[in-house]
Amino acid sequence: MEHHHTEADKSKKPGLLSNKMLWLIVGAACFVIIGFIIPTPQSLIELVEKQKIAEKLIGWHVAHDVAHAAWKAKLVLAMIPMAVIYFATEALPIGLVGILMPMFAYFFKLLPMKMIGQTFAGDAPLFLLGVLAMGVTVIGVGLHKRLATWILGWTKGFVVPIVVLCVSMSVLGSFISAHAMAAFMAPVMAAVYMGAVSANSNEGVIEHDPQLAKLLLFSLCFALNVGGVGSPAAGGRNVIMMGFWSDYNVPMSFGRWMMYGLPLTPVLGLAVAGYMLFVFRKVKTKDLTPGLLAIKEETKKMGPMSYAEKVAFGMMLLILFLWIVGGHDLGLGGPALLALVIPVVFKIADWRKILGGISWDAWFMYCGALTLGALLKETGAALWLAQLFLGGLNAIGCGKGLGLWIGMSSFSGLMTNFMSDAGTTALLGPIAVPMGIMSGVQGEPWAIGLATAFATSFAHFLIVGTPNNAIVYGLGVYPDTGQRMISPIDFVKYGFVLWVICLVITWVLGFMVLYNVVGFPEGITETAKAVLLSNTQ
Amino acid sequence: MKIRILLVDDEKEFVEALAERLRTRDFHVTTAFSGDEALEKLKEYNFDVTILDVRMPGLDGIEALRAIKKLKPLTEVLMLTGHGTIETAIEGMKIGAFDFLIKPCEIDVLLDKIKGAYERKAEHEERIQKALVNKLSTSPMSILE
Repeated sequence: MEHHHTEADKSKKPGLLSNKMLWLIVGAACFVIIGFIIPTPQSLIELVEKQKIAEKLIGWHVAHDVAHAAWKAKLVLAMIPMAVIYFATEALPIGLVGILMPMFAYFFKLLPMKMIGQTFAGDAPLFLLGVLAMGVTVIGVGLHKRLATWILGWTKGFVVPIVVLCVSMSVLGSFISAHAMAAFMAPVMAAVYMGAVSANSNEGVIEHDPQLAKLLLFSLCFALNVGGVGSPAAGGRNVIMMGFWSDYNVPMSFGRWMMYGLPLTPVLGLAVAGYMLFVFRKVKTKDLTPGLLAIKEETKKMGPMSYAEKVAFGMMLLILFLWIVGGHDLGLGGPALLALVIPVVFKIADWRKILGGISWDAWFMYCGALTLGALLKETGAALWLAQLFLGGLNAIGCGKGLGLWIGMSSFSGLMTNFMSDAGTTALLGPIAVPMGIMSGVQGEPWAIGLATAFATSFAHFLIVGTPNNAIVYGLGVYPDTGQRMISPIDFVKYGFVLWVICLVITWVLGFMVLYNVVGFPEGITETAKAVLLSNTQ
Repeated sequence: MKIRILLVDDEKEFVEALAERLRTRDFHVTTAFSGDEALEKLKEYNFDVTILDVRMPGLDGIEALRAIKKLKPLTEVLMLTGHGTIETAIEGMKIGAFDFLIKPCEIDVLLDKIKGAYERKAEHEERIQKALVNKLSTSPMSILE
């Protein structure tokens, strides 16, 4: 049996990646070298002059001539590798990396002082604040447990529970914090496993079936990962993308995102189930029914639905309803803020508990991402990068439409395995959006933005790709021996092919079918292009 | 999931009879007839509750308790004692045993104490899991540390 003892983990020597100070210095060095030592590219100087960006920056008193304006754009570009290093190595907490964005903007006078604060706030951060608060209440009252046990409690046999698990977790993961779901469900899966293998074992000695343990845990983990495409509420990275579109005057509604993303989730969930059942087809234990009693026990322990659960459920449905039908007047932030008010007014959660439960680290990071997006856009750095990458992609025939979406989603999907999904969107979004706009294809920049954001849900093949992976690995322990059910290399072994499958499904069903069936509003490309070229500023 | 119990006592007949009674009540019971044997089993497996006789030849109850707590700090220990060894049981509680039982004990009393010990362990584990999840949610890379 391939076990990796948790005790042994403690004796591991810290690797190069854990040397935070080293990476802190490397990131800062990158910023200094690009920002202050490497000369400003002539193409960047020409661009800020030709597109009248220099004129705008001089008018805002943040640059005194064209060369100075181009240098400001270069400083913004220098922030990107620094942020990549900090996100990938966690040399700084992600929230602090977010705070660096407005801080640098203030100290290097990259934008007028009043604009910096505005870029850090807006509808998207308020939306995210509400999403995070809703998560605190829903998890706090245990509604996620109730939903999971309702969905899985009735299943029997082997294939049906796996399919129901994957499809339900992917759909639930579109609306409820996947991390919280992973934290609740991983021990439940361990209990299902123990129940199933115990039924096949002699009294006293449990005969383990490691393949079954992996099947259950990876099905859970990957299904929760792919749920991220379903709605903007699935995670902060989607909110960041919504914020970038708003910056280009082409905001997308909550319902519109769901039209492109939600139909993908059950299909991706089914793909996870199908692939997992194929890979682990040789499991010894082919009946999960005795193990599923663990879920029934959980349901029994919970008793009837409590007042707090009912209010939380009603609040969730109301907010979802308002997000979908509320339209542009309510925005996304308006309904989301109800998640802060309703729990306190109806006394189902304490105000301090909500404040304590919100991940401010994530929130600061998202706000910082919006500032970085604005900095890239306003200084012309985004346009310069977009032209640079488009030039390269055009040379290989991937400069627009499907080719561009496939290229961008592949890159985003790859990057998200090495760093946080939100970090990936935060850094790629401000570049992808202008690339889409400059390609001039109808439907941009929504199409490329969705392509970038969707792929960030496929962090399947590295354990550090998403908290879901780390949580399932951390909590996936054989209860009787304390040994780990999966090893970090298993993510590469079972996640890589699934990563490819998920991307292909997104290309075919998402880009080729849903983009055409749902369509894109007329004129969004032109509106966004006008903003990009500073004509509407 | 069944509660996993390790029953440790040098009186074989007593151990086997009690193990059988507990198994009929749906516990997963493993037996050991000395402190050393108990430690060997603890190295290999996790138990929720260890029921440990305080007076055994070789490694005595207190020494075994210290070793158990060092090896598996989360495993709750119930000390089994006779009237003459209550002081030892109290000393055991001071160094981490959950409770003690005086032999011969009523099965209902034993079941209550097992339940209490299990609940304390489950609560403790839940708090550890919560802290781990909080850490991993903000820093998945910390799993490699």
